[in-house]
Amino acid sequence: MALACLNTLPAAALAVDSELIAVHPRDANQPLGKRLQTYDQAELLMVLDELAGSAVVDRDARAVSALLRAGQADVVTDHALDALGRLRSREGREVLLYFIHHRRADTRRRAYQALARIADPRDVKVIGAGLRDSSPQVRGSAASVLAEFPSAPGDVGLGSREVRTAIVDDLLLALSLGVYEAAGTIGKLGEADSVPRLTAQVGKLPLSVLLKGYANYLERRDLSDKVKLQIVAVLEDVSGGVVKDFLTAWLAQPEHRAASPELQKAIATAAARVRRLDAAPVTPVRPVMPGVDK
Amino acid sequence: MTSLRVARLGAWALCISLIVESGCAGQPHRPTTEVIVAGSVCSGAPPLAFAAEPQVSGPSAPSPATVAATEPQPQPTRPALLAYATASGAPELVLYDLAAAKERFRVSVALRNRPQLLDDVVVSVDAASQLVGYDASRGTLRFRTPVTRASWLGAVQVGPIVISASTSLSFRPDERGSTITAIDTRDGSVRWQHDVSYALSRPVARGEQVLVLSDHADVWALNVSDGRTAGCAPVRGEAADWLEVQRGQLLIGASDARRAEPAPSQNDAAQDVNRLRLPFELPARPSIRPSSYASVPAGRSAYGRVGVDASLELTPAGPQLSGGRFGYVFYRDLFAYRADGQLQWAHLFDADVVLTQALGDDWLVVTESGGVYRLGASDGSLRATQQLRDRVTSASVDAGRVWDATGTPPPAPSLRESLARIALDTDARLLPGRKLAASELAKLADPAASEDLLRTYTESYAPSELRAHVAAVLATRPVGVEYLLAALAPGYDFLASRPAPPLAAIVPGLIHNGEKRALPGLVERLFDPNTTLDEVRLVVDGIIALGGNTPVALSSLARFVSMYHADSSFGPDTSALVAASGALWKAGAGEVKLVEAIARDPATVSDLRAALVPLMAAAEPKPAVAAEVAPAPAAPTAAAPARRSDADIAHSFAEHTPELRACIDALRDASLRTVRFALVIDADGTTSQLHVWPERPALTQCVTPIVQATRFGRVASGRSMASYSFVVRPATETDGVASTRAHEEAPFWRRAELRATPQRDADSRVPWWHDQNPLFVAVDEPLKPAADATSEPTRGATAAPLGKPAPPKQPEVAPSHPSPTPTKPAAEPGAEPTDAWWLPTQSQ
Repeated sequence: MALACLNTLPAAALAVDSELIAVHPRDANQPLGKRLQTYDQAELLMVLDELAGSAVVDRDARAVSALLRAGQADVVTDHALDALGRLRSREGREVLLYFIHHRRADTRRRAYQALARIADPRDVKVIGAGLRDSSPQVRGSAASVLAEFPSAPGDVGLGSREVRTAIVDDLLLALSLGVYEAAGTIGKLGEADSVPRLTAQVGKLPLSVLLKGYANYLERRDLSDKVKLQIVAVLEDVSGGVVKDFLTAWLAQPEHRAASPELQKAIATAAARVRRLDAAPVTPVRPVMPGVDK
Repeated sequence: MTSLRVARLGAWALCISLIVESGCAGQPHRPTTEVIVAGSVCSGAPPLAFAAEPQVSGPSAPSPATVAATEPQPQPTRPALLAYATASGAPELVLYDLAAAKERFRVSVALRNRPQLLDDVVVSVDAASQLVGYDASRGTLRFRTPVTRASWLGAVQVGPIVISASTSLSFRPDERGSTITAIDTRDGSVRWQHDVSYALSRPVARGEQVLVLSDHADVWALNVSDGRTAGCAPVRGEAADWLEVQRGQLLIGASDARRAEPAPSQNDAAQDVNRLRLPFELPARPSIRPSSYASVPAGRSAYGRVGVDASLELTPAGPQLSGGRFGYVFYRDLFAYRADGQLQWAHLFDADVVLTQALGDDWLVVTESGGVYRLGASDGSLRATQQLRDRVTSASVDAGRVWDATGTPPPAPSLRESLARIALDTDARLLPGRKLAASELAKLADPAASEDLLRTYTESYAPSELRAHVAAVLATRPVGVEYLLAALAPGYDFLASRPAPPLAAIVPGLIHNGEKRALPGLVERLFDPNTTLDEVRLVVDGIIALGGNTPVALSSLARFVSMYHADSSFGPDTSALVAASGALWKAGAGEVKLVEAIARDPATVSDLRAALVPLMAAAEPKPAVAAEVAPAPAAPTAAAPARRSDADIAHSFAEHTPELRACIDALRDASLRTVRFALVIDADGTTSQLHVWPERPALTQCVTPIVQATRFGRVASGRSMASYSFVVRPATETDGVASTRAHEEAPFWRRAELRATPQRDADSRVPWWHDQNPLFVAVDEPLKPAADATSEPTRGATAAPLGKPAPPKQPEVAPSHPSPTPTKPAAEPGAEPTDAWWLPTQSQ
């Protein structure tokens, strides 16, 4: 197509263009910064999608950051944000801190996800602020990525008790306001005192949402069996087919055989006791009327 | 035959003489029923004495309420009576004694018109179109007389006689007209009656005369005793809607009030009359007095609920407001104004107001829910209340003694509190009242009124019209900026259920007050996703107005334009981006390159790119920019620059402008507007491969030696492509009278051409097709954070050239038309990255 256009141009223009094209041989071996210097959107996307962890991730992250700062079309912006997430370089943090305030909600969501993948402890509060976003999509994403955010004791992020408590408080509030993704994250981050607060939502929120939180509580090794037994007791009180399926599935998972015998026994007992209240009623069989039914 | 002719002539002569006599001889109206077919009611009537002294001091003389308000009067001994029609249950007429706080009588009757209190009777028209009169003491029916016309206007009582007027509006001449009837309250008999074919007003009494307005133009006086015409005269000035008697003098008016004076003769120079007007226009545009031509229904209507309550007094200087105040009622709102338009107090009632009446230092208010309030006229304090047992649809009151207040009245709320209550009221009907309250709030010197206005704006159910009004009045408020600043700071918060700040109400006020402290907050809102597109435009305007060319303002606008110029977020409305780009363009320095780059970027939103072309053409960047980009005189010993800038090329071509123009003029092609040169320039400044568009052999032949002779200077970067456009300015009619005429007569595009400056064809700016996109900068090595490389760079940093070292073989210019893989050349080498947005800084 492009060549066809070139063929229609005057000879002088062809001469100019051919010289220009000759000056710019595209080479995959060029540094990323040079490969991104193009208005060709397809090429930009191709280059961005190829990006992944390498020995020069910081340099690549700076190049992608510069691309984002220059302002791009929507699709390029989104791919660039995803690329920054894949690069996991802290060089990309700064530009991401701008893009978590972008006007498009999807762009903000991608920026939060990229920040979470970079996993700088300083960004925990920033991602927690995503729970206050006006977009449900962004709030849900922020709640979800917090669950996967790594922490180390003593870091300024989730390793800090104050920060973790504040995040869990916000998650509980967000959950009560309909951010269902927060339930699972609460189960991963919340201390023992957050269990009753999550349980307070029973009857107000769908049980399937809360079970994600309870499942994560039961998975954790830093929580005592006492807390987990309380959760089992709560679930037994709630009862129903959903709870029974949940408990049965938990017992069936091989990795849970490492749990304490007391917890396993409690869950097995609860699973046996819980009745399927929501089972479909048995349809009565109509008697066959001789001479009428065949 | 002859005798027959004579008889016919005699009959015609008699007819003519009768017609002439009836029209000119001034025959009085007969006391009996008479139909006046055509012409003014004053035809043939004796002239009316406009300033006649009152002959009797009856109850129909000056309004007691007016007198009480103008002169110190002894406490009236007669109790004030309130007549009202009920709204609940079976329809009833109730007469209530306000002094004794008890009913006098209650009559079961369905009324069609608002009951009217006269001297000793209460009159109205019932559902059967009968004028009924009840004894004010006992409630017995004194008379019941048919009302001949469809609309009953009202009545007045002089002694035992009640004079009532009714009218009918119709397109049929035989149905159109008015009737004025005198009824003896003692036996209900009709003493006299006049039917006229035009409109009459509600009657008023002056002594033994009753006066009506006729067709809004004449005052017609009738003797009460026999109905004969006592006088008639057209009034001076515009049409009058109401008539009132003040101590024998006549007051008339429409939206205004003025003394009634006879119309001047043809030779009499028109003298202006002293008028009393309301100091400003109120919602629903009420007049000082309601029209006397209108019939007031007994049921719910705007009468009493919307209008002005003002007592008038006639002074030598003309009519004045008694007590220097007037009230304005709008359903549940009552605003008390001074004569100069200064609001004194306001009150929001729990139900619609059906009646207000100034009673000396008090203001009596009756509401639809049956509440009767005595408010202090000076401060609006609630002095006493009564509660009627009925809901009221319409009422009238005659002045007199009201009940005494018991106990200490509660202190009146402040004017700001009252207005805020009205402005925040959610009654959908009260929008005009809420707007009026907002306007009055904005006039207050109390800074906290700004907070009330912001609360009104952010109220969940505030109509958009109210919001727009609040924003408008807040925009011009000189105080209360602290509240605007405080409201600007907190953004949207889902967890805290905090809405986004009302920027449409905040930003104009900040701009109006030149509040530069708002700049950080505005920048924060600029990048707030919860700021709507309309608000973003406002925020940009605010940053431009308050920030000017400060580094904070320019860097934030640059970041904004850079971030969103290709984004779909501003697809529906690019005005904010255009405004920001315009400010950057005018600011000059590095921002010019940014705008140029955005204009060239194919990903730029099309509306934005289209808007940038005229913007960049119309507004020249600051001279400082020209100085920046213009090539400095090279010192002989200076090292060759790394590359040749577009400014250098333009400057070199500009030196040969006269010769190039001569070549173009030789073509004698008036349609030629641009000549474009494409060439290759070597490192030593020599040229080759020159191509000229349009392709005219004569032109190419003429300009080639000129271009070859042009010195482009030596650079270190080797060969480079160059392109230059020579803008051909029309050479005719640019000077002298012809030019002026051309300016006047030419179409707009021609005038634009003629206005173009001669220097434009030697424009030193980079042509648009040259790709010098500074938006993208390749960074292969981490940047060392400069001392001032913060997120908000300094002015000096912003003004510095942008760029990063370019690849060694990177061309200077982009293709003149899209190539399969267009490139974004890097900026000039050696320039330090300075802007925190499009040049990355080292992360923490």
